[in-house]
Amino acid sequence: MKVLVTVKEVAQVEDEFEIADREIAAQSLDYDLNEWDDYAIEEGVGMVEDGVADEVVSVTVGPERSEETIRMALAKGVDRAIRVWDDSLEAAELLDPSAKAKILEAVVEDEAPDLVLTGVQADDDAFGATGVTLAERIGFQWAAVVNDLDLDADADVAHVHRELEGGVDEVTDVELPAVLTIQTGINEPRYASLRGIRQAQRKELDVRGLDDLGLDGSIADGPLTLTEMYEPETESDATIWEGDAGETAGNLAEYLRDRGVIDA
Amino acid sequence: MSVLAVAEHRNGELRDVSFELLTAGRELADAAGADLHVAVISGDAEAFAEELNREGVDAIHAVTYGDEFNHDVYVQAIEALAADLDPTFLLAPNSVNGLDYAPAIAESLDLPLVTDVIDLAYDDGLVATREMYGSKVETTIEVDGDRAAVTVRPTEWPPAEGLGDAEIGVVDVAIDESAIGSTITGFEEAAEGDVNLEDAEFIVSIGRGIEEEENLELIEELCEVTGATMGSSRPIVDNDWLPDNRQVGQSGAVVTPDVYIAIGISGAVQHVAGMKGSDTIIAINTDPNAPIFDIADYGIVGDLFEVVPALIEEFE
Amino acid sequence: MTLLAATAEVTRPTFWNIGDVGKAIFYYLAAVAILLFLFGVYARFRTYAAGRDDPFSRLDAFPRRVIEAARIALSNEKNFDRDLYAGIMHAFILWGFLTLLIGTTILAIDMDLYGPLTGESFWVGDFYLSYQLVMDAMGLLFTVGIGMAMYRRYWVRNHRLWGRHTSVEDDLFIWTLFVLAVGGFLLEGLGILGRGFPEWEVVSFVGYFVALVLHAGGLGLSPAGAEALYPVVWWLHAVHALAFVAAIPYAKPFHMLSSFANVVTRDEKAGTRLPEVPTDLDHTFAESVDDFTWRETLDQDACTKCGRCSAVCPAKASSRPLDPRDVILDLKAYRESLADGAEEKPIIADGGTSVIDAETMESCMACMACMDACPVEIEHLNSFTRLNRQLTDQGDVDANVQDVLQNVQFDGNTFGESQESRADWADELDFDLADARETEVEYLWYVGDYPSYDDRNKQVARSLARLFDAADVEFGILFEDEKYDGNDIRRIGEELLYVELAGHHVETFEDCAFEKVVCTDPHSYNTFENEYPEVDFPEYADDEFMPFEYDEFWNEDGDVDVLHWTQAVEELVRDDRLGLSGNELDYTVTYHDPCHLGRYNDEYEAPRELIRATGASLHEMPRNRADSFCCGGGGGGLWMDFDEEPKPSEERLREALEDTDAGGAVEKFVVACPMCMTMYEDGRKTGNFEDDIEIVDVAELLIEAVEANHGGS
Repeated sequence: MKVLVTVKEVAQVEDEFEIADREIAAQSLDYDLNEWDDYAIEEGVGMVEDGVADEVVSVTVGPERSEETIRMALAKGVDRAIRVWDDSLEAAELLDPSAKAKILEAVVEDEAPDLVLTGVQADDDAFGATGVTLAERIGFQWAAVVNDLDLDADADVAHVHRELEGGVDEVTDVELPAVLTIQTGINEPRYASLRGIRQAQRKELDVRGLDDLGLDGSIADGPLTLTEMYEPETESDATIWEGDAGETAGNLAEYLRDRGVIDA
Repeated sequence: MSVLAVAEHRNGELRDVSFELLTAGRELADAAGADLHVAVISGDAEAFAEELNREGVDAIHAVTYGDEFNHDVYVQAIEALAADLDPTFLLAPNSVNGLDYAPAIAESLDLPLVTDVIDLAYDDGLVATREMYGSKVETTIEVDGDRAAVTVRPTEWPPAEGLGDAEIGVVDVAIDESAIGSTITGFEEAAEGDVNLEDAEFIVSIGRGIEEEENLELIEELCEVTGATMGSSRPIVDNDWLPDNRQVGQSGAVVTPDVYIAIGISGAVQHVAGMKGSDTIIAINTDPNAPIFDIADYGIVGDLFEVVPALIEEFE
Repeated sequence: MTLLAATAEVTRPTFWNIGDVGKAIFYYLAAVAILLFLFGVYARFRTYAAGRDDPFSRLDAFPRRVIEAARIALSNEKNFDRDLYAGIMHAFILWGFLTLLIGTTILAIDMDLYGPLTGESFWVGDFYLSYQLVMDAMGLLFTVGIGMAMYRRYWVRNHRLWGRHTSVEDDLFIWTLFVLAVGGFLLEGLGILGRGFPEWEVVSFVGYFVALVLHAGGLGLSPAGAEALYPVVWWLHAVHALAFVAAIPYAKPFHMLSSFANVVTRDEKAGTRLPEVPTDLDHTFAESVDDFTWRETLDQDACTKCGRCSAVCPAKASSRPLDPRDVILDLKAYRESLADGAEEKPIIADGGTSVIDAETMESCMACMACMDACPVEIEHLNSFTRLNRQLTDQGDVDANVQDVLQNVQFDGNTFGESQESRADWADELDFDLADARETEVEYLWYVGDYPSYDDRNKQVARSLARLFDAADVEFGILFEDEKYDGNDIRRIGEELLYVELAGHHVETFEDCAFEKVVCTDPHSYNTFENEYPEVDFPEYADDEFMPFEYDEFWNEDGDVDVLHWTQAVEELVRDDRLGLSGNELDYTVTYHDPCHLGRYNDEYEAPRELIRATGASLHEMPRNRADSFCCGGGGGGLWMDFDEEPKPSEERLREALEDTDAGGAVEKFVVACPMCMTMYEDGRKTGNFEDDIEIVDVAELLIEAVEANHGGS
């Protein structure tokens, strides 16, 4: 059994930042492994460690810089990694879920995994749709927002919990092959030490262009165009109580008493 | 031209987002000069259809197959309806279930997909507003071409009201059961214990600002002296500092108390989704720019480790 | 009855009534016992020889090491530390045993060497008399010591003597010694009685007393009866003694050799400087017992289960799941079980299937109390660091600590704040700080993470800045080129991140012109002083991943002065550069020794001098100086959450309020470490001590005194 984990390097924005030309200035961006993908990696690696899967491969769509992130995945125990990139992707401001799914589809065709794990969403563009879009394209079964996973490889079934709103889990059996989008909290992701990242240098990291996958740059010309980016206006009309801790606490206490929620 | 909005229900009840979807759908239909069609699939679809008959809805299509949500059924049903109605815009809630079928149907119908939309406009094409980078920025996205699928963030639009005069039809869709790859075997309350945040009238909620698990004692003490029920944002529950049943927000409890005090909670959308229905919201946060102040009625900009002890003192 | 008394030679017959065959059998048994002993010792040392090389030289200056170890062992000083009763107990047994051993050896030389060669014996006359007096006296002490040990073990049931690894070998050891001692005196008494109370045997006062008791004390044993009984008791005693000799290498008595060897091979800087990690990426830390160095294996065998380490361990005291003795002994038990054919399992992991649980190591505060308390120089921290490095390698790192490590990796500090805002704490000062990268300074001040980013500790940083300013010191800081010092993440096991930080700092130091490096934080001070000079930067010279160019050892010969700020300011006070008269403040205070300043680096007096210089009256807690009790923040404890009861900080504040000779009058709890400040400010809140005591840094006390003076004049 083979598991493919999609990972993404995401940009995180510092508290102070500037926007120029529909982009956030580079100095305000830190890059990191997408939080949800961290859980997906742990889930995949755990399957190999538990003997449920034989191999776990990670794939990312990203520039050379994102190799740092991939090495983290390798350090955490992923067996080998694939990075797909192309100048046309560099130029695109926004890749819609469908374009990402098309690239991943080509990788799935090459790798033929039995299970694809993705994060529920990426921290940056937060579409939350790539996994299910991919499943539809490659004809796999799927489940979105999985917070518990028990794989029965012999029966080709994944027993999953989907984390619904309001503290309710939907308990579902999904036939394999499948794409599962993994929710945070499903496990405890391990740490990738610097030494582990160095050791991971020795693992295979296969870089592929779109043409290697039988695709071309037109894939980046999706139907979505980012036309504006701005800081949301704060529309606060809250009454702010001023003063030191004692005074503000006094104001709040007085309000709560007036409001009648507290008798004391 | 038509807009097709897909309602959501669970456990025999329509979810609030369904009515919000009607408002968003009507606005879009008006802007684009289209009709608003609503689909309701599975469960007691006919009864749901009656409920969904609010002002501004032109037609409702009830698909009576199955009980609870199953994405394979939804995809097939919507495909069948789309073949019939040829909708220009497909609207679904940006919920856990919405994200389980909307991307698939968008892909199968070859519709451009925009998710988690907080505002919609029509200007010879769809213009959607959505957030990026953890709500730090907003973006507008233009969709090329005539058609699109959109998932709409809950609580961004007011629910549709009034009694409508929609045409209600029951649609018999032939579901190919061999294509159903997922079987729902049950539901589990993630919550444990007897905490009922939904019924609480006074909630004190704590977020990342508490920094360490042991500091929770401080909030427990505040709840004790004020008689408030303690809630929390997701990170606290993810860290196992509090049980799941304390979580307020999209994936936790949706609460509507008289007074909701958010302490050390920045106000991420997922949290706000669970508490914006509170009558009065009071925020305590060190960061004056924290989004929680946008929805708060009262605020204290200060260190919770100073304000909370002072507050406890007030009531002791 | 042989009429020995008639010959009146002042001596005692050996092998009395044993006969030639008996004598031959005895010599044969003795030879067997000694062979078994030698083989056992050989087998043990063969195990050590097969262990991995130890990164520190431990056999250099060997004669000096042996002499020093002999001094430590013979003076019994380590056993007196913190526990007078146990000290006396062990001293009596040790000195008594050694005397009896030497006495027996002298007798053997007389009988088997001197006698056959010369046909005479020197075990006669005055020599015999003094010999017997000393033997009986020391034998008595030996017996008293054993009695004390048994009283404590079985009557008092002292908690530290009863642990998970306490076993029948501990009972056997003490009972064997007891029977040896009692048997020896009984035999002597029987001999004296049997030989009709030779008058000179009064020097063998214990034996003589036993003889009197046997004869007249109601037992009524006749000399003839004693003579008849003598060979029986002799054989029992002889066989017992020989069995003991043979058993030494196979059980607890081996500590007589292994513990001594451990003291000989100690590293005096153990713990303060951790071993480097080999750059070989295939190197493993604790995947199997073979990964341990010979000295770490010897540590395990040197352990006598005395439990002193566990008794002083703050993690254990706060019910964290760590018992340092058990860790050492668990490793030993696992190693020995493998030799007996048991199945291999992971040495350390999360989830309870391993020899040591991850939680156990996360609990360690790296405070070094265990090592300070250990009478046999077990270097717990070396083994613990090995286990921590294995955990880090496996990725088994606490989620909170992962965040901290990520912060250090991406931002350069443990807070995850921007380095650009590192010096923002200084904005509130009414003077500007010099940039040590551009200006020549006396003090290159390494401020540290907590004083730079934590609000409470920023106040300390500002106090210290004002002190330097008041003393007209030229000082500067490194602004965004100051990163996290790395001390504690090294202890957690993230070695390469540590090397990155060390490389960055030494490279930065080299580009600056200064007289001294002065640190706010004892953790920084420790690692700059003891560890940076040992980092093998040349090894990383061509390493493309290391973000520094520096390719030499740094400060190998100690040219660069590294100081904790209290040491630097102590000099300033001595030179009267702060203008203190010594009566500015009249607070009643106590002082908490930070582990990294005190136990790690033996600096106990500088902070105390400074406190006294303000006029404050200083009252010591019972656990002061080397016995200080960790705040709970070391070894990454600051970044983790524990279920602990009581929290170390709360327990320590209780001690400050209840156990000093000032009683409840102590109003200020003085610290000299930012981590302590954070932990105690926390403990003050959680333990409800807010109305009782304030936490202040020495710097805050000092600046208050300085400014009181200026206000007054």
